[in-house]
Amino acid sequence: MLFERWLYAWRARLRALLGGDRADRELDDELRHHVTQEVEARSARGIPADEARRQALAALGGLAPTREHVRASRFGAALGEGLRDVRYGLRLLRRHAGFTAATVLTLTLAIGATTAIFSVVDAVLLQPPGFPEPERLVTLWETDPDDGDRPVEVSPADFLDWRDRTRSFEGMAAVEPWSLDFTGAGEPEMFFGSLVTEGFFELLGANAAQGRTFLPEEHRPGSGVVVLTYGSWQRRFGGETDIIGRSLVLDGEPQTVIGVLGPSFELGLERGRPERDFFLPKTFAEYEASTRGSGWWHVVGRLRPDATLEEAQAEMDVVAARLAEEYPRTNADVGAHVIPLQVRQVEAVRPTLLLLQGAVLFVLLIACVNVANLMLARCTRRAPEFAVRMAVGGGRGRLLRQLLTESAVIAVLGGIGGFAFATVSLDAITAFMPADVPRLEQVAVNPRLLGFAVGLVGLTTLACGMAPALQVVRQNVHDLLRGQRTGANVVQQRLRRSLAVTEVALALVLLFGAGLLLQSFVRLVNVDLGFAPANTMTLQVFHYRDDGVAATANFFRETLDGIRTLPGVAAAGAVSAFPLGVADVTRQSLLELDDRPPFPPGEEPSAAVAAATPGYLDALGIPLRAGRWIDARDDAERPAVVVINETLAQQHWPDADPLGRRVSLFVVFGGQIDAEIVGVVGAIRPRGYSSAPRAEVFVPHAQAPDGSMTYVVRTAGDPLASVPAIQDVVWDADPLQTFYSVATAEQLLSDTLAVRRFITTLLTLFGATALVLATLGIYGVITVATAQRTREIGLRLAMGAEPRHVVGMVVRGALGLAGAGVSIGLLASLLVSRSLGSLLVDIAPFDAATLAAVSALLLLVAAGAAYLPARRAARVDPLAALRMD
Amino acid sequence: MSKPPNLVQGTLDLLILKILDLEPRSGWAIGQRLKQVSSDALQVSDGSLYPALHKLEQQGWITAEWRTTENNRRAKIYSLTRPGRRYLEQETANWERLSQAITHVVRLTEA
Repeated sequence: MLFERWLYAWRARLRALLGGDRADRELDDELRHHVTQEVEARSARGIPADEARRQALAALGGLAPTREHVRASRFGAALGEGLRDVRYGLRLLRRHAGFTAATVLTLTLAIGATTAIFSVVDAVLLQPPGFPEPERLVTLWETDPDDGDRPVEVSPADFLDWRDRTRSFEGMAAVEPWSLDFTGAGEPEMFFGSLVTEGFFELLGANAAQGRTFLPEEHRPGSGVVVLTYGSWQRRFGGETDIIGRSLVLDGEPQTVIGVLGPSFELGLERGRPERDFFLPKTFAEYEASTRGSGWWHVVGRLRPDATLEEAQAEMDVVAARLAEEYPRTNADVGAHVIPLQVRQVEAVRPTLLLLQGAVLFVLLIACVNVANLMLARCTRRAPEFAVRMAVGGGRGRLLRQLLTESAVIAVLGGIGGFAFATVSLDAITAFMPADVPRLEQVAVNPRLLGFAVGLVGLTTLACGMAPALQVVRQNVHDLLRGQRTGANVVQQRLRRSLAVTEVALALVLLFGAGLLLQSFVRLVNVDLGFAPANTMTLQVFHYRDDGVAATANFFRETLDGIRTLPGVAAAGAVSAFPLGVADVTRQSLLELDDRPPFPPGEEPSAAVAAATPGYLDALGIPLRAGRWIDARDDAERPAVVVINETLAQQHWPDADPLGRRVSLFVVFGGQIDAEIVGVVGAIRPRGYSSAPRAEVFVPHAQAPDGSMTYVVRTAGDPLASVPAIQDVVWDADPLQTFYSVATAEQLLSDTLAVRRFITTLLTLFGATALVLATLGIYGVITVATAQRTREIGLRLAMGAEPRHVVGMVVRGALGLAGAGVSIGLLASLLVSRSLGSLLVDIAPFDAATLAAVSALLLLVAAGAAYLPARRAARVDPLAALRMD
Repeated sequence: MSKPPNLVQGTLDLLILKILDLEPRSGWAIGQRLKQVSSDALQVSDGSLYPALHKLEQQGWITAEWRTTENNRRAKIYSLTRPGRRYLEQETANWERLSQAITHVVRLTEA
């Protein structure tokens, strides 16, 4: 009966709330009908029509006020009833605090984690770049035939031909990565940015937030204008409002700031340092019109509205083939690749985010299963209460309504908790993500996704809260009262057991994935790098001046001498190609070995060649294997010498002593040299943990004075504390010297692991969450199962069973459940773990030890979860249990 | 002119339900019937009738539908729901107990 009323009530409420205009129109009709009737009645009594109408309206108290009163009472009624339901639900939930806490916690974790990860995926992967009509924006790349046709940067002459010979594009512009020394105001600083060709900003549809972008006539030498990014304006100029029109000294030339871009301008073509500080108008140099074969330009284009990506690609294929015919020496087999801007921006993070999305879906699934389980368990426990209430005449509708309200209140509480958790974890996730992920600062809790997660889990809650209740009310009151195990009860118990098995299986998959990643991570960081990164500071500089190579050699010798005298400095040196350098400036050279016949073309040995100073070996902690390291005597006047690493020594002199042999090679700033091998040093992993050692040759910096060098300084204490003193020494020698990067070796190493650390940490958290949820699930099932078996257990105890036998029986039951879950999970793991692919280091995707470990962990946790209810069951008083009927 | 006594809160609801128990009516007809049966002792303003009707509808005690009346007008006709009838019985019983008790108390003080 109550249920029936509830249906009537909600029909009326929904009509009033959602009917909108219709509800108002109907009210007007109703009141108009009243007035008509009243006027008629009064007219019948002889009152003139006008007066009758006036009286009718007066009796009603006016049309408009009545309309308002009706609306208010309608709203009040709906609100009042709703509030009463919620208050009632809350009171009930408070009485079952344990159940409420478990359910709400589950919902909070699941909704929060899912919403956070999906919000990141949505903002980073699915949102288009922040330019008008972003779907028409593309990036263009050459392909490298020597490297599996990988997309690579474009050479200047090819860009010019592409731009002139294609029709699918509304416009095409090139972006040349560039850096500048900013001097003349405070500390000199290296600015990173781009030179852009004519029409670049117009093509993107991007305007300056302040000032303007470049005019066509400003793309010529000496136009002296610069556009700053929002980032550099904030960071270096403190967001000062009078920045437009200011003159900055960039690379020694005055440049006027004509515009500042908005905060959302993000192109993201270059990894690591995406267009960080400035834009300058590109002016073509004469040689560029004929430079092909090696490229360093990024190219963006806007498709014509009627052109498709496929058409553009087909046209580019034709143009590239034509260029290959015209310039076979440089362009043979070089193709062209059109990649949508959005794809290009996110392709590096895409696999990471998709993996996490998959993992978080597992968590959501486990949560749904867990909530279902908890709701079912609760209903089973309350079955006697329901029975009593129905026996004394409580309406079925009333029972259902109560359960519905409770479920709804739980879902709402979980939604609120989930929103809070999503907000907190989003901050943590974005702070933790590799910094060059696009649109990272725009990531926020997405209301649509929150709604989706709440809806999904809420539906589960409602369905699982109502289904057993419907079952209960259909049951025979007598059976219920006598606590008989009815058919429905058995079905329910079976359902709940399979839910627990599912949970364990899902948790196993997540834990296995997390275990594999964790082990990979541990193995990586325990790899022998071949050097000692602790307490080492690195400062990378480009020192190219017009005063000759001898002066460059002097500059580094003097500054290093100065640095070595600083307190706390244990060793200092410099090298041209620093292994972990932000900019990889490694140079390769072919080698000719004096004791070997010339190698056939294409099979010549080669090695990475670096110019190094005395002290570098000690500063980085690389061991000397034989002979000696470069020392102060190895200057330009002395015979050329080189030091090789043990990888090269192994390759060519596995059984002989390389010392004293001669090797001929090409060195930048040194030319082709013929040098004696005077030492062999240990091999290092050049790009961090996951890279392999390579053949290396070191030449004395004094004999090949490169201007691109990294100072490596080993300190006694905190390496960062030494930075100001080191910079002062360098600025004493050259007040305009800027630093490309300043970081400890440990920081640079850590950066190489950023993505991996991010994935591993999150997956481990998800695994831990899954473990907690699965434990809760098993605990819930076993608790209810043993409660239902109280009589049987009492009988066993009365017949002389030992309490420990009872405990064993219950725990065995739990292990049976967990065992079934583990078996299913093992099969699923074998399917899923392949997706980890390249993230695994030194470990098979089916690593047996990890599988065994996580299986054992789950079984152990299951046994632990069952122990409490088992102990409780064993302490049952046999007499009381038997008398329970 | 003395003001007729205000309706005790909730009494109007009871009266409406009682009138609808006899037969479904439109809002205007309910008002007419109210005035008629209470011989104008209880003055229910037409203005307070409609909010009460809509509230009762939202509480599920009464329901409404649009019908064509005998004089060929479209009118919103209210009728009692099954729960509403049960509710009326309860409330009538309550009312009788309450009014007897009050009458009893009032007479006591007079004696």
